[in-house]
Amino acid sequence: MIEFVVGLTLGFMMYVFFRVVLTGFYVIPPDQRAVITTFGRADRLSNDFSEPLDDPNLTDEEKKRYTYPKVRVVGPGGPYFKMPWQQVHKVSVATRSVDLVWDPTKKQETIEAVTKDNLTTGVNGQIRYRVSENNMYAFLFGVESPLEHIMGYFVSVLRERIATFSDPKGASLLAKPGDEDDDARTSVDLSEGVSINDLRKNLPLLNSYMEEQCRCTPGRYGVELDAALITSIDPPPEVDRALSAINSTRNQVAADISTAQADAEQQITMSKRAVDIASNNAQAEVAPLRELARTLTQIKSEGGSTALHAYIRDMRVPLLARATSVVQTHEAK
Amino acid sequence: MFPTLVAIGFFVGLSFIPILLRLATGFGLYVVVKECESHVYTLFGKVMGTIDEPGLHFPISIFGTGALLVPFFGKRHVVSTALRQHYLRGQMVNSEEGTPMGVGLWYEMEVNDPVAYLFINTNPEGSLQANVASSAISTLSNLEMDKMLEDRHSLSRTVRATVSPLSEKWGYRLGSVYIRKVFFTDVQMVHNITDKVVKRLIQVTSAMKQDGENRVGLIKSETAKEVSQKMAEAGAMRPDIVGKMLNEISKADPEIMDATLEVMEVEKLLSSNAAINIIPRGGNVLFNLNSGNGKTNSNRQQYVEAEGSNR
Repeated sequence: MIEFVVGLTLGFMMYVFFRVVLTGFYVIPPDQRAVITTFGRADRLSNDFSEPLDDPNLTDEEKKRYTYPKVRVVGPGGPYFKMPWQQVHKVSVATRSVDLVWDPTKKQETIEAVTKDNLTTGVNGQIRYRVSENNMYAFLFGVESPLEHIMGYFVSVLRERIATFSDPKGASLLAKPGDEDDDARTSVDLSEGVSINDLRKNLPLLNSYMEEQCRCTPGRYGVELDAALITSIDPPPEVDRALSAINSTRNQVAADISTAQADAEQQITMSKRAVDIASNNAQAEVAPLRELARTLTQIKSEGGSTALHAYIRDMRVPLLARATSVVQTHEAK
Repeated sequence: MFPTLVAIGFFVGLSFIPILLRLATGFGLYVVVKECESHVYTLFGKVMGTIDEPGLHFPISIFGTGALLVPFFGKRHVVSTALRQHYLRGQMVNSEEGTPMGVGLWYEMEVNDPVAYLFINTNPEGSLQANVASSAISTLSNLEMDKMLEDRHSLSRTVRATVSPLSEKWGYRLGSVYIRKVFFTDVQMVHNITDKVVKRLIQVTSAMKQDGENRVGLIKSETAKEVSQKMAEAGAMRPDIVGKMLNEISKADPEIMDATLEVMEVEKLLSSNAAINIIPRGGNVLFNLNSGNGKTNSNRQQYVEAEGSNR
């Protein structure tokens, strides 16, 4: 009997050793957090379970619907000890990414969306998310499939935004420009108003809008959206070709304008130089005239008109030396 | 004998607690309710009650001694009250213009009344899906296509408001509802829209090209205007400068002006190497020119001056 009791005691101690000592200690890695449940109940920070999380990103109506208690979160470290009736729910809080096309119920290469001008286009990208430490209850217990949930919400919001997206500048191709804004319009503006083009040009804006819209997800599902990265908007091939043609035309127009401006600058410079050249030539022509007039004025001032005539007569003497024939009147002798 | 008894005792000691716990659970002496779970107790076809508070509970203290009969004559139903979601794909609606369109609805729901969920409706999920689909079709049908595409959130709220009262009768609380997808079901229509966008882009390309040509034309015409002005300015430069100088000299002394020009003319005459005939002023120029017996040097320039009698 004593042997049996000894065996019983040893067995009981072995059970206790396995259930309490061996499985009682746990460690939380740096990228993880944990919530402890005691008999299935998570350790709460407040006994008032109906108190909703005071999340400013949720509307009053949403605060009533998404009501989760705030639970005690165990940070990284250890070894920690737990009792056999306690359970550790570990979750990674590192940022993770998931493709936009991820859908456990459907295999797809891209997600389809309809633009403001009704064009069906493909969208690709990914979202980066992490589990919110402030609302781990929602992620661990409150939502059955948090990632699927947030993807459902995100894709809904994204498609709605794509369907309403127009360029913030509000330029429209179909609107006839007035006289006053005709000069202001550039060739770049002309392509605005085509949804697919607006979307492609404003991807960062679309991404930031999505981030703004997903601020409520920590309060709703315990998942924080770190970044929405819509990497590509893939329209049908013929639309893509037409968009490429716009790009080629824009480059061609820019090249033509540059060539015209260069040519214009060259011609204007040449004409300015022509003025300078003409001015210099005229100045060169005038210089001897000025000097000669000054000299003759000096001759006249010193010797009067007589001296001036004498000088001119003297100057004409070489003509006689060069003359092939001279006819003189009798009086002239 | 000794090791056998020890081994038996050891095995009993090792398995005593797990067996004891399993028996206690089996006989319903205690129950552990996890987070977002509800346990519904039924006995003899009647609902005894519900435990939805997470933690350790003793049904006997809640429901009385009748709880001990549940394992034999009743049942404990475990219902998850966590938030779930469902995507209802491809619901067909017609827009006001008669365009056939497909709508995908994404909604969340949670069990808020486990008893109603279990016993009021045999297929609450299926009924909820049917209700959401029906409400979506009635809300979205005969709407303008643009409104259907762009005003999704308010339409979603309308669907939710319509479906919520009925779903709550079945123990379901409908959460957020979103129109996740709106698409055209007619392939031909998709092609037509694509074609429309392509044509519009071609229009943009043409407009861009025309705009470029206009701007190049404007640059060229402005350049021509400026160059023309400058060239005219260059042409007017000589008369301006030379004229100013001649005016200046003439104003100072007309005699000096005459003298200057005469000096310059003579200098040019001398440098021209022309053959010179000097004849008296008033003499017959042609006669005097032929006085050389026709032996004028045709290779040389000729200069004829009628010698003035006043000189």
